[in-house]
Amino acid sequence: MVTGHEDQRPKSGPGEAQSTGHAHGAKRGPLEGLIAFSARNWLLTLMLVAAAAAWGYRSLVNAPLDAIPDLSDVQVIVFTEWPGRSPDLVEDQITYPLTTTFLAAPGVRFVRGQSMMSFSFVYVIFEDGTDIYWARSRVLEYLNSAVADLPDGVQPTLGPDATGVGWVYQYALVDKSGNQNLADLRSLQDFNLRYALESVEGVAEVASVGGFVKEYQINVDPNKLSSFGIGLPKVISAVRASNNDVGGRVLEVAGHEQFIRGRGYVKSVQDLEQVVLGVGESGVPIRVEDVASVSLGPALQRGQADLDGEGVTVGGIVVMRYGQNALDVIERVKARIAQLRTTLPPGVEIVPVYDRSSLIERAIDTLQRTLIEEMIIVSLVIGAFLLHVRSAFIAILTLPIAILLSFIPMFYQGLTANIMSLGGIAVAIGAMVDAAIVIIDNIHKRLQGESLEGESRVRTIIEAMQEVGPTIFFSLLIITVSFVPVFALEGTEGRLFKPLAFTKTYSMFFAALLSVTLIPALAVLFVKGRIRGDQSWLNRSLKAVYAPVIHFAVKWRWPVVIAAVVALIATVPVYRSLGNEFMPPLNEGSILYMPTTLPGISIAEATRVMQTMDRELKKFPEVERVFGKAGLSTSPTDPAPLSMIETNIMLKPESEWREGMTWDKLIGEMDSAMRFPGMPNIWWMPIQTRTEMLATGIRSTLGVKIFGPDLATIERVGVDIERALQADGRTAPYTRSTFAERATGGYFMDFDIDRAAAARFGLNVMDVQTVIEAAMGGTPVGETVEGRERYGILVRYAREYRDNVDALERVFVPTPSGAQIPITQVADINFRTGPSMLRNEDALLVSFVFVDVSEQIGIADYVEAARQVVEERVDLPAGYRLDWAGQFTYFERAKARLTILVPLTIFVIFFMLYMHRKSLTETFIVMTALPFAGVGSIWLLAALDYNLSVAVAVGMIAVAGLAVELGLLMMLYLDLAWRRYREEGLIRSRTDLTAAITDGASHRIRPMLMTGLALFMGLVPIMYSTGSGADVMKRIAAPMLGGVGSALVLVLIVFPTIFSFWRGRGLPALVPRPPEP
Amino acid sequence: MKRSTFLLASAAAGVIVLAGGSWLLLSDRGSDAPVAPESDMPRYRAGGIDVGVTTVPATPRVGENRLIVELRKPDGEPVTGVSIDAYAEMSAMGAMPAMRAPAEMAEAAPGRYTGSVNLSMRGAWPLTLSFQSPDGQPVRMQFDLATDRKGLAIAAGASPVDGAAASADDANVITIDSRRRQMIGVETGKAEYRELIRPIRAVGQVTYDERLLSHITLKFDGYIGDLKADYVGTPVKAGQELFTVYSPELLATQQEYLETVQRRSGNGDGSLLRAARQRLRLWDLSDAEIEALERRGVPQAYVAIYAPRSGTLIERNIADGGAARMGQTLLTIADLSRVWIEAEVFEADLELVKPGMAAGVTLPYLPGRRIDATVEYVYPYLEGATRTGRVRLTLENPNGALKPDMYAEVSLQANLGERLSVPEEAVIIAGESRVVFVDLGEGRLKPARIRTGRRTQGFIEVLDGLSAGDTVVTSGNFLLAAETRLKTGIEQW
Repeated sequence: MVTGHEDQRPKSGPGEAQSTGHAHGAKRGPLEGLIAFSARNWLLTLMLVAAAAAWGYRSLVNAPLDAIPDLSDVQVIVFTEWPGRSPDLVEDQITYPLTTTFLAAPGVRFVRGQSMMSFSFVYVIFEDGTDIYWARSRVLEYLNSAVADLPDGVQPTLGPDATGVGWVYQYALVDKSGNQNLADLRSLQDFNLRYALESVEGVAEVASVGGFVKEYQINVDPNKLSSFGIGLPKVISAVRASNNDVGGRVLEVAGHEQFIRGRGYVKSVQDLEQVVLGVGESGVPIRVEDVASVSLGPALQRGQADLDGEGVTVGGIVVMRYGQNALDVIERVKARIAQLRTTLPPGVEIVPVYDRSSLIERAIDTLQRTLIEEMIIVSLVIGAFLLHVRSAFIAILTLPIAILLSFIPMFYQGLTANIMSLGGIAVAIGAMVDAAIVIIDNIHKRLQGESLEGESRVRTIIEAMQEVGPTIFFSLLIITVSFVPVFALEGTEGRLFKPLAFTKTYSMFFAALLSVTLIPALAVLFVKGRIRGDQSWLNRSLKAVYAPVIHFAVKWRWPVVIAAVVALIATVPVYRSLGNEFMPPLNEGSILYMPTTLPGISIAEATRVMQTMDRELKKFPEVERVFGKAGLSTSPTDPAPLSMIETNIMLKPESEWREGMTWDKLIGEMDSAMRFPGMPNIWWMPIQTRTEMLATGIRSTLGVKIFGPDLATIERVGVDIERALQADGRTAPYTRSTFAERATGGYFMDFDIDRAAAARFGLNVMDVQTVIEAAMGGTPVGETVEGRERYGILVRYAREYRDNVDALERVFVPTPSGAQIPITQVADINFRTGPSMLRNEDALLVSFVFVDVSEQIGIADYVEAARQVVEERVDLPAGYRLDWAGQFTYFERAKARLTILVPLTIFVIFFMLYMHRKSLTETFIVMTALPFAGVGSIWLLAALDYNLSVAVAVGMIAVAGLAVELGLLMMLYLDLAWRRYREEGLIRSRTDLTAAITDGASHRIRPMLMTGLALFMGLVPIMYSTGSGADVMKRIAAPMLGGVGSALVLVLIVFPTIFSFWRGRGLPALVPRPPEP
Repeated sequence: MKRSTFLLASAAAGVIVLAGGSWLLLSDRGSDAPVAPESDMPRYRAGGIDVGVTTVPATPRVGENRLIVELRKPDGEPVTGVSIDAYAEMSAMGAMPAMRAPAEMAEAAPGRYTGSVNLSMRGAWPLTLSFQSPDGQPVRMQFDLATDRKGLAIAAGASPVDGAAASADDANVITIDSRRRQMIGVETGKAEYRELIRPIRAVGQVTYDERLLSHITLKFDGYIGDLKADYVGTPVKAGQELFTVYSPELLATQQEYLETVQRRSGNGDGSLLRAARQRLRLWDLSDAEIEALERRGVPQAYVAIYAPRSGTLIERNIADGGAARMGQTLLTIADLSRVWIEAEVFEADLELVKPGMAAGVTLPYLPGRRIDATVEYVYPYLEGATRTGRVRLTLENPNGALKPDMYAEVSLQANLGERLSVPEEAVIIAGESRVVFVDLGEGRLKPARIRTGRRTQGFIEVLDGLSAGDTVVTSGNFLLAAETRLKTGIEQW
């Protein structure tokens, strides 16, 4: 933003004659042409801009809204349920065959598997940018061939086209009348509400949690069974054969078709009781009721829900499809729920327990308010400096239009309007008006004191704009280029901040475009009347304050420069004292309380604890509703073990809170109230949590992944590595801690079948296992079909024959001889511990060794040394391999990119500056603005107690361009004054130089301060904003604010002194001639 | 002059602002800034030394926190030259592995060690301190540390110095105050000597008391005349006529007898008569019948056979007019006023079963009724096929409710005598280990490994690891176990 025009002498005639050599004004490039064209054809320009603005408005209105960008990978979840099977069984028989299949699929980055009790989750993660539906069909394709390898009756399903982040709405069912039991409520949810809501557009899935799933249970009495000489397999096959409907084609009767049906679905407990198992000696049929009791009971559960600590309840989770407009989806869901209300059984209510729409609305509101405040403040700044309403109006009008226009590419790119993307606009506002400021300032300068009318006035205005227009493009280009490193971010951070980078770039681009189209048109129309220029009282008083300051600074140039250098050095310890965090907190307006205990907790215990917790939480007067979930819902997007409780705390509006209560204080109070032993608390925000949960990789800086086929060996290798790194002289001094994961936490009761003993009774392993499976676990033998509803039928031993260790030792195994022997005769019972969950990466089991590295060594050097140590000291069996992974790989990659991009960016800036200024020294001086921007950033961060995070880094990157812009501007003004003085032969001593500097700097204080303050003040509303999303934005804005502040101080005070050193070489200190007034 | 004074003033103001600002910023987070006065620092006694621990800021936050540890002997002398291992750790959540934030502790002043921990996330970060005390005793302490929560609370490994019990607890002891105990529903029970009764469940069958069973057989071949007891189940009384039988042999013998009698009435030989009478007797004719035969003087073609005992006809192999072979079981009569129950007891329980033991019998067909009985006999062999031993009980069956071949469930009460035992819920089965939590009082709980013996109704025998009078936790065990494992290291169990 270089005003190429020297203006202080009113003697100037037509502008181009005055241009100063670097200016582009002399040549008429395409931009100058565009400016002239837009100004001359103002009506056409206005119409075009109006049309574009309308288009932008349409994009804005239709823009999908969400709170934060979807940060998930392109992933397809393959979910398989195999009830009652232990993690290692699930791993061996399901997860492993599946992962091997998917590895070969095209576009797959990696495949991760997770095996839990009863469930297998396989995550197929595709390259970024892969179309999710394309990815899903590939997975389906490969799944086809994999199914053959799986155990009978196991059916993997593709998870919804959504992620955990898509949990936008949750509700609980409440029955006030007491007529519906939990099984009825669950049936209502499973067969009625679920389908009704799943059909809502944009909903990928509605998951159920809690209550009891009804199941027909045939509880066999083994004693009676053995008294009839019938084995359990007979019961299973008999029940299987008693539950079917068939069709017998048609019978033609008198020209009419009669459909023939064989009706045989089990519809009630009585139907099952009548199933015949065989015929006794006397021809008496032996029926199920003779050997078992049949009842409707709760099926095996891996999850439970609770509302307000009042008791178990049934809940529903609405999962939104990938890339949908969350707000619209929630609205539609709510509308459907309102319709459904009338159809519910009397007394049953649907109570919302989590609703993201309020968050989205609040976040968008916050951003909107911030944007409006920013616009007002920036307008006030411009108005105060220009003191010309119409001119200020031009600058102010460009802002909303540029914002509207930037929604057009956003919309077509599929970016949602969220905190980050709107934040990009918010941090750009200050810079967006720069173009307008400089152009208008220049027009004012040119028109100042002149009384041109008509064509000559228009020409003057156009010329004034042509002088500066191209250089604005140039300076905006620097700002844009300086933001390029943000695009190098990868992974979660990349997905979080790229929308911001995009929108910032778009809004800058449109601001620039408008500055050469709309502004010329408006300028011709509106810059009328008397232009007071910079002779207003504000400008005069600024000049009066600034001139002595600059004079003083130049006079005491050594101390000033030293002070600056000291400030720079003093920043280093401040910088080092800043902490780190993954992601700044995002206040989502509701709390996700996630206490987690060790694996192995039983569902009854988990439910009991959850209810106590919920009751405690409900006691807080700020709490509206508490909805707890322990373990799994039916959604494949929810791989939560029972040891993890997720409690949504819905808060009342802040106006109803206790006096003086704040968000942090509330969480603090809750935390001290909820110190449950063995359950460390996590207080998080729902979206952020779900986002973090998606990241299944290593989260510490450095980790060693050990891949291999056998978990015990992996564990041994892990422990060896742990020891080696701590013991070896090369790594020990730098190893703060190492920790190898131990595969424990799961408790197993193993029946080790003694083949020899089994053989004595003529039994095969299978015969024994059938009993273990069927008698203890229960065998699902089918499903009843009752209208729309379907319930499982399960055969197993009656409770008293399997509910304790003793009873299990007495489970009978039928032998071929007809005798029934207790299972302990053929199997040994052993209690063991083992992993409660198995992880699998790229078809191999994987376990981690976490390493914490001291800061005294570079991570890459450490890895190098550690590799050697491990190679020498750890015996790695064949088939096992190590992978040095962790955040550091990402850091390394980001660093690799940044080590190219940052210097490249700086070089490009440097090159552009050099091309523009044609002076190496000047370029270097301008570049000093960069570190000084850092000074303010870091000090402000420290003062605000912010940690270093990616958001902060983004802010720092953003400030670089702004600092250079300010520096460049100042340099130009100083140089102009110096050249003029030299041309006039006025510089003969340092005193003269000082005079020249003071003059040059103080006369250009207006545009300097205007741009600087517009940048600075434009960010202030962000710092004052509160509410959802404000925290993230504050962390981006804080370094910008501090950086702009310190850069402004630097360019205003220190630059003149540096300039004085540079130009003062060889000048005598004093010459009797008095300085210019 | 005016301008220079203004300049000087503004410069001075600038310098003051700059200096003040930097001091403020640096002192707030500076490493050498004064820390909390010693009296503010909570102190704990562990391994014979006083340990003071605090953080700066007092409410830990996300990001950098300073950790200050002071070690002093009880007499106030600082303990120097100790290498402290300190780390905060966030436990794993779901698929998210655990995170560890270690602090490099350095001795800043004699006995005062400082370091910093970088907490990267909001939440609970239990802090572990471990070091060797000067006398070589390993000390391991565990504190509750969480972001946004003021202060540290001792969780395990030490006791507060000002507390009443400054005992030397080992590192496994966790401390949980009464409110938190209440929240997770901790209940306790006692380890004490109890008379342990082990119920043994056995499946049995009602059978006839073999001693009350009579078979009706003939010692001659014959033909059945009138069958009185003509269906299975006929109740019979002792001496009641069951059927009549015609046997040429018997007829001949009667004839012979009558002839002998007639001959004797002349000048008979007494011994011959006795022999004839004996023959009839051996063919099961009673004296009364023989006398009747004498009186009548004609042999009877059809001789009545009488019931030897009261009971029920349970077997009938003959019909009217049928032929009956000698030695064939024609009818069986069982007395059901007393029945046997034969129950199968598993090998493992057999050693506890002794004759005379109390037992309860329930019958699936007679729900709700429990009949008391005693073990009468333990068969001295095992059933080869089922590996079970058989025991026998005798039951009175006055109204015939117990029907042979009925299945019965027999519950034997094996008295194990006085054994040290704890409630069953107190014992955690962790693989091979059995662990209980011993309540040491004042909120301190200690996991103890025990060896267990037999399990009986709600109690488990403790062979080793506890002594009588110990209080053990019977409810809320899981969370306590989790707390222990979280706080005192993963390798525990």
